[in-house]
Amino acid sequence: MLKGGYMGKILRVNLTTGNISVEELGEQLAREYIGGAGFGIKYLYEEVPADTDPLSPENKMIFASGPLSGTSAPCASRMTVVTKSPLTGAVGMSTSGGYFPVELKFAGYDAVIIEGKSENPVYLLIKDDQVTIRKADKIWGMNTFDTQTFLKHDLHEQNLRIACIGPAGENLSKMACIINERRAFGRKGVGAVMGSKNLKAIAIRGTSKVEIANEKEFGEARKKMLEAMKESPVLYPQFSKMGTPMIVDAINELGIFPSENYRNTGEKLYTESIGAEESSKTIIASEPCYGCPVGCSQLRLVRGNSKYIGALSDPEYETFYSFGGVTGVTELDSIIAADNLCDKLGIDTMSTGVTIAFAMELFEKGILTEEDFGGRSLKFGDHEAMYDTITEIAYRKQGIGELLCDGTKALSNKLGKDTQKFAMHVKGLELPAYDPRGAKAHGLNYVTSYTGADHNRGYAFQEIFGIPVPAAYDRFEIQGKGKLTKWNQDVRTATCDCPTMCAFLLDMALPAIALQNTADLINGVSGLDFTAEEVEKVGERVNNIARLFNIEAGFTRADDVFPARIMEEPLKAGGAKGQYIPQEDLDSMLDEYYEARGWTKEGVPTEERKKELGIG
Amino acid sequence: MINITVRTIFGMDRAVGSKKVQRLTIDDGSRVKDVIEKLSLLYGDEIRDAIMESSNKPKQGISILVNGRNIFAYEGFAYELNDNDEMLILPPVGGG
Repeated sequence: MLKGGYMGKILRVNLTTGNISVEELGEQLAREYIGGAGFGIKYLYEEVPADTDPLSPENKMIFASGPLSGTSAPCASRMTVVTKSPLTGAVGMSTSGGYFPVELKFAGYDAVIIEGKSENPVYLLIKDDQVTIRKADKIWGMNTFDTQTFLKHDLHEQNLRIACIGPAGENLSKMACIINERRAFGRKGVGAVMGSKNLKAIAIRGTSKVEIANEKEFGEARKKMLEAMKESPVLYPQFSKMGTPMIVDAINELGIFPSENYRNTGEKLYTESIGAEESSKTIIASEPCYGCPVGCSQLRLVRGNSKYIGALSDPEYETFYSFGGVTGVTELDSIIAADNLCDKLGIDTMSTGVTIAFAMELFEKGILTEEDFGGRSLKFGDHEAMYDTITEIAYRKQGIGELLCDGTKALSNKLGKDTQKFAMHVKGLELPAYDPRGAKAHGLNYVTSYTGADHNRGYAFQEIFGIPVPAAYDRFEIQGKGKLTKWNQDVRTATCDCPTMCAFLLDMALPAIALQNTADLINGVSGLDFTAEEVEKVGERVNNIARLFNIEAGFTRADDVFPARIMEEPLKAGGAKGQYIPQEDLDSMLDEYYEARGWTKEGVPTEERKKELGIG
Repeated sequence: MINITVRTIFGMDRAVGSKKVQRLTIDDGSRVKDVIEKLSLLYGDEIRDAIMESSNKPKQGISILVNGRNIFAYEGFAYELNDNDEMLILPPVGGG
């Protein structure tokens, strides 16, 4: 019996029929999948056939928060959305923070499942047990910030928490995201799925409290976590004052800050222009998520004599890459402005920047011309062209917008095979801000993550920050990286994506104690009796079931692969000079990874493994 | 004697003469711990205190790489240096 942490209810909304129902959350589901991504992937696997068209009414969206969200566990205001991704065709899982995630719990639900498709634009209003589907004709066409402001006024409810799509989602851009407050369910085109369902927004107001099963046990676990956070060498004050962009300098030094669509990573450095010292000057305040003592998100304001004057946003490190290094842009103000614009239009900063960078190289190679860009050029480093292209993409405007709107893979497919070599994606998801040539386990996670090239599914902090847990690793070596990647993925899933907990805590404060800490916190809030080993097993179960979905969707070992540039072009300069990942090295790492997972040589979970994990 | 380059970032340079990059001439067969001693002699104990918890253990969050490779995956502070090696000292950072 679940005594706390969980609200015990799952809300199901069918937009085709208008039917709204509430289902009981079973204890077995909690024990086997914890919550968040675990719930989402379990429901996706059971209810959505893997060959479903992601933008059809048959696709579903499962929004879920874990048992820690809405409690006083620090940094636990996280929510996941799981759907079949239109960008990749694989499992799409995206997470967000802020205040929206806890509000679902306060309204009395652990998850909400969206099915079908509304005939006309609608939004979903959840006020505790009053759930209504309402017309959205007034807000359809609005940007995400105006949508949130308008709904609060229109409903005379300033305390609503709202997640919504912008024009990019309405126009079914496969890079569209879902925005709540200033935060995002950013990647894998989840905003396009919402747009395909004619669902503009989900607005929530809840008045319940999340019960705690065992206050004493929970209090002790919470105290231990807060102590570990205080002892972290980086959380306070650096990370809380500077946020993720503080690592621009370190990643440049490591020689893996991707530059100009990865063609000159390590040769062109960005520390002087957009590094921590310069970018910190733009910070005006922290913008913490609910219940977070760290507050890493930094609001930055463009002042002075800038084309982008007045732009206010909170770009993360990844955006310093996508609208900085990978596009060759060194204009800090344009990164802040581009971040703000993407949030407003509801489009992923990462995929958008990488796709623009790809188009820049296509332009320089003469494969795309000024004719394709409405008479303009699109060169590396041209921040104005970069900025203007975002709007074209979000509205799927004829010409450049239509060409780039569905991401790098779609653009490469339109232009032909020769462009695949430098189309920087895995399974359709654009690469994150670490050139995998100089961080091999980090790279192996890109090719094996169930979502495509996704740093957040198995971040190799051993290679990036030198954290020696479970051991110290040489980032250039390939041996041992299969086992390490499995560990990184399972622990990340189990301690961050399922409970749900901010992933920054894992590497910066809790690496050695994360599994036990997660078990203690969940047991304290729910009355369940997880061991650290059982928590890790949940991570393994979720990664396996996601793999099964992807296999049924048609993915094979051949899809666990980098773009040719990573496998054929050694880095020419910088801190990772000479490094690349030839096919034989990738094969060697994949063999080790599959073996560690108990999968066949082809990357398929064996019957024995499935039985052991209780899946399939 | 051999020549090496020492690099650092992000405030750590203040402990090594405010130089983000510097060349050092050291004895053949020198190890990372010898370089740290040399830096301490040149600029004071702050750098040693910032890096070393003990003779074989770094302070939490400190990362030291030689030619891009994490020395703690090998002999740690006893990692031997060669002519023209690049040693990078990274202070605690996080995020991404």
